[in-house]
Amino acid sequence: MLVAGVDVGNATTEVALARLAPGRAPEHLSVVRGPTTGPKGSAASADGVIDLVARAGRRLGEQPTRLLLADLHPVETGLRELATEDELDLGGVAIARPASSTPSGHGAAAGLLVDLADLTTAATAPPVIVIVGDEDFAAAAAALNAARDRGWQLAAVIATGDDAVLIGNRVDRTLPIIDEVHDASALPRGAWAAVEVAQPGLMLTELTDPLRLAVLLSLDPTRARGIRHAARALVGHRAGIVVRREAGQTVAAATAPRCAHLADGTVVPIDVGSPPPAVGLVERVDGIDDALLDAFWTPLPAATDDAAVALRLLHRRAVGLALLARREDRALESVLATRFAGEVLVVASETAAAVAGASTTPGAGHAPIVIDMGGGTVDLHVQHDGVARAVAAAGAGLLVDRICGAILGVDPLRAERAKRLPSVHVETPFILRHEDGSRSFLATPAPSHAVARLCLSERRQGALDPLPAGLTPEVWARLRRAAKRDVLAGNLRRAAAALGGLPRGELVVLVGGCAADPEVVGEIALAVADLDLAVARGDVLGRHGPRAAVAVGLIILHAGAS
Amino acid sequence: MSAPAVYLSAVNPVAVAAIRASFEEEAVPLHVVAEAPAGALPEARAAARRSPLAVGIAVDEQRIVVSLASGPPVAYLEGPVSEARLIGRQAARLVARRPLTGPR
Repeated sequence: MLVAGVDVGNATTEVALARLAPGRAPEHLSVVRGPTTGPKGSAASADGVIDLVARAGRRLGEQPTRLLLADLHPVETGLRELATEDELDLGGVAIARPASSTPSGHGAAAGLLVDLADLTTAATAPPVIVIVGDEDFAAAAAALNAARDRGWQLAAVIATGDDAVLIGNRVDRTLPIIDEVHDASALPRGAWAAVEVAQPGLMLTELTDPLRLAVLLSLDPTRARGIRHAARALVGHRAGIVVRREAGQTVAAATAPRCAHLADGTVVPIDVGSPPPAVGLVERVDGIDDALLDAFWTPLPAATDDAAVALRLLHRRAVGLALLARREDRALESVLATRFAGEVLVVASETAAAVAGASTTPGAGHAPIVIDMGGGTVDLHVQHDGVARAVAAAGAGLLVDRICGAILGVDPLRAERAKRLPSVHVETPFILRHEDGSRSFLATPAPSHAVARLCLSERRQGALDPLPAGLTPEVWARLRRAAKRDVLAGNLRRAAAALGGLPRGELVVLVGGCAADPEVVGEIALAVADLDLAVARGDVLGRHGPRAAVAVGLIILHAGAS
Repeated sequence: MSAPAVYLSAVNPVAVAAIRASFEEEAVPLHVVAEAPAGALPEARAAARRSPLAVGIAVDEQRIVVSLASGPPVAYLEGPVSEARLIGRQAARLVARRPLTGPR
């Protein structure tokens, strides 16, 4: 009989084909994989299963007659930026963090926001922050000089175009000028505002101090506390604008903090300052309908070697969140039962199947510790003193993707590549700097859009994929490793704690898609270094590496039971 | 020894002014050679080879070409004369090692 072991993961679906005959070991024939279509265990995820099974059958020239599934529980991952929610309530001010790469002048100043055209009238008493729109830089500079001659006090300039230095050179090289403010037209004319430009290589200091900001904005010092979110939001930037809102201008109320509800009735805020509870304690999370088996969250990693990046990440107060849902319906199984022309059986838990698959690693035998790190969960199985224990902790590869995406400002698909691929900084069209600080020379110049950017490097093809984040490869590599450590090694520690610890000096076999990443293997080995464990990467059936353990394991378990 | 600068070979005063402005904004030195190039590409390549910064620009009647001093003899950046400010900015950023912005 030809059977298919089917592992529907949160990210990837794998199908293993094997021939079973009574009294004989399974004859393993092939493994195919593809992206999971729809949420794991949903009716939509059946499409990918049907396609993969058909593809595997076509390659073999024979279709399987039995599908073997694991008991599935889906994981939802997301990212919550608490600072973004804070910014809905900035204490009566609005902020802008323009990406002005060449501002002019330096220092902080405050004044009334006015258009350049408004300066043709007689000067008024208060200083002004002049908004320059589409005017040519030479004309704008001439108008600013003329206005100054008429008695206008120019506190600062905000320009739409890339003209700050050009205007500054013709008016006053010390005057703070922020350019490339593309939404300058939306700034409220007549409002009181503060502007700051830091010296090259430095960060804002005045607008990020709530008391100093209150003084600049002529706010009552008692409101300094109320504008702390605005001050924080500018930390780590070189140029910033803060506008005081007039009384009566409403701001959206900050949302209530999302909390996790534990089995013992405790309520824990999902926040950067609050560690996730032990595995299996969270039953429910605000805003999520599903009953949960586990919830895990972790803040964005700290950039220890770049102060500006560290501050920007810290002040986002972002947490990556993974929720392991208790799946009550059998949507996938129901759809497969109608669409597949054979039997559909749920054989075992994913962890049990992973252990069986891992045991096919040459030399591993029945490893006492098996860790299956897939897209959604870290599954830990420990066999010690004749007792087998297993636990699944929410949060694995997909959560790492989310965190990498949040750091780099890219979508999860691109983040998944960023998680795996090395990065480089294209220093000149001909010189790449690598993550270890070494440099290599290009025979043909890098494309212009990659120059001076952090890029993903496809070593095989030599292609460069520029990323929007202004990070060095050294800093990014440490953040990437830290994300893997925080999620995967952190979750392994939670899982181990849930099982009462790991036995010392034993063999650990790592399987699952994450185990294909040498950085992850290194981080896991470091995380359990104190236990003197032998950490090895699985090689399922001696030819599939750490992948396909569940799909192959389902076949082994089914063959053993039948 | 020549002062470090990108060499620009052009006579079109509007294009020269726009490219000068871009270089001033990025604080990158530019040396203008007032020659009417026969072809933008070979002239940009020649300008790049004379430039201590190994980047040259040439403007002919139709287009602006930015060339590197080495590598394949093709335009590294190019565009119509009407986009002199943008191409100039990209060339200056290339030398200043700032990420290029705007359309590719």
